[in-house]
Amino acid sequence: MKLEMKKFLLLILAVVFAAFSINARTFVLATGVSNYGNDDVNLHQTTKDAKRFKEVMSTQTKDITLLTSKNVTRANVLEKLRAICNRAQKDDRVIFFYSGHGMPGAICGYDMPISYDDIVGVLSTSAAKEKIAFIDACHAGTMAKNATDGSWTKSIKGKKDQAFFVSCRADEYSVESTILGAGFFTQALLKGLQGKSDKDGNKEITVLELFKYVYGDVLKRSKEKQHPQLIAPKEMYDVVVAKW
Amino acid sequence: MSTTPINSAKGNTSDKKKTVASHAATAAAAAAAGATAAAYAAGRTEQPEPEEAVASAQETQQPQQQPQQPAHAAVEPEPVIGEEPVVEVEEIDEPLVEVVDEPVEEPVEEPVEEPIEEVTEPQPPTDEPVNPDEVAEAIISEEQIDPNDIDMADVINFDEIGTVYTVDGESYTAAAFHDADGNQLVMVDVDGDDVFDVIADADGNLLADADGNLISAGDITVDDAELGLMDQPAYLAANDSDMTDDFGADSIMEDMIS
Repeated sequence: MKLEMKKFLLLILAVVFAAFSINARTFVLATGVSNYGNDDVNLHQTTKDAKRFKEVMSTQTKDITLLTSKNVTRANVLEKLRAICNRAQKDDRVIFFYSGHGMPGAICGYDMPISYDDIVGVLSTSAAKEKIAFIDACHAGTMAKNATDGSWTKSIKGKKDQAFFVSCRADEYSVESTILGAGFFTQALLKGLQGKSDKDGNKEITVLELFKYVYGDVLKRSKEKQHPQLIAPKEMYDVVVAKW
Repeated sequence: MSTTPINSAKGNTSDKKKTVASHAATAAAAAAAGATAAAYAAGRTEQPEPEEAVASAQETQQPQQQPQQPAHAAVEPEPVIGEEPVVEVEEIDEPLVEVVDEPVEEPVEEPVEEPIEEVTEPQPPTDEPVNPDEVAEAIISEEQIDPNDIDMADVINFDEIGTVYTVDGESYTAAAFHDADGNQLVMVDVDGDDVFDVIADADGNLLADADGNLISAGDITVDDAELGLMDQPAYLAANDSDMTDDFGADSIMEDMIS
């Protein structure tokens, strides 16, 4: 009788634990601009990148917002990011993805640049436990330069809850490949998220596992002309980005 | 999400209907009031038949359509008139007192107030309850896709991946694919570094350009092919050769900023 009671209690505990686990949510904002309204600057794979990223993340969460091309205005992106950040609770996670043109200090929205300071600033307002951004854009490494001052420093040094995967160093370009049908960085990211980076085979993709895989894949493909960077406190290295 | 404008629109429509209805009631009431006034003027001793009274009222009030507004202001039914058959019509009851007392001025003063009283009447419950959570959920999971996105069609569409063997017994990793024109081709990893090196046709003939140089597979890797073969995202087991901590002359630590 006592044994049955114990089993029953254990079952109740398991259910409660599962309920709490389910409550933690991942909110994703995926953005990409291919059509800037100018043939001279239009890209051909970047909105595919965003859509594919959304597909992969849909295996992890249902809370995904996707914006492409003309919808990737500065105001719209920041508005959606704010909405997500406001919605996320302390046990949740916020993920931001962008693929498109970049410039020193900013990504290029459809209408105007969106500075990394703006993005970091909005992310910093969220109570979410973890905020992770993936930026596939030229000069994305300039985000790291901002790590020496401003809100970024406060955020990363103080809260230790933000991790940024950027596709290249500050003085480098990010490449999209027609043959590959994707950006080098995004292609590596998608493969890594789906398990190729899972070095220990536990079906949990951590920040560090993912970055190592992405780094090696992009270096190999770009003939070491493109170096992805991870800008994150070490406390974030073991955070699980995807679970299978 | 846009419950406010919808409700607002419905509310306005409802208000408009109510305004029209009140005008009609007002007109009828005022007409009846005119009839009563005429009857009063003709002398209370002569009690006209109800139909006649109404008819005469309409005739007398026709030129005075504007002053029919004060129907709402009549709140004290005249007992004397109420006893008469004419007053049995409810709409006639109310304005009688006012019209009799001040037949001309009263209608002019009151029309502004009328809609206000009508608004105070209970409205049909057109508003649907708004769940803030549902609104928030809609905002945080939506798609805004530009129909003019430039999504270039894939030039390589993988069909299969496997191992091929030469007559010498050597094995290579190869991936069968078709290009945008539907040509069936094969790319082969010759040196075993998980990067496809050459492309061959279905008969195994290596493709070369006009100068005789072999056409490379454009640094497509084996795991690119594995990814390309998937219809839906799923777990892709890592191979030992997929990962390496050897990044050549570059140190990964240089690019890990914390």
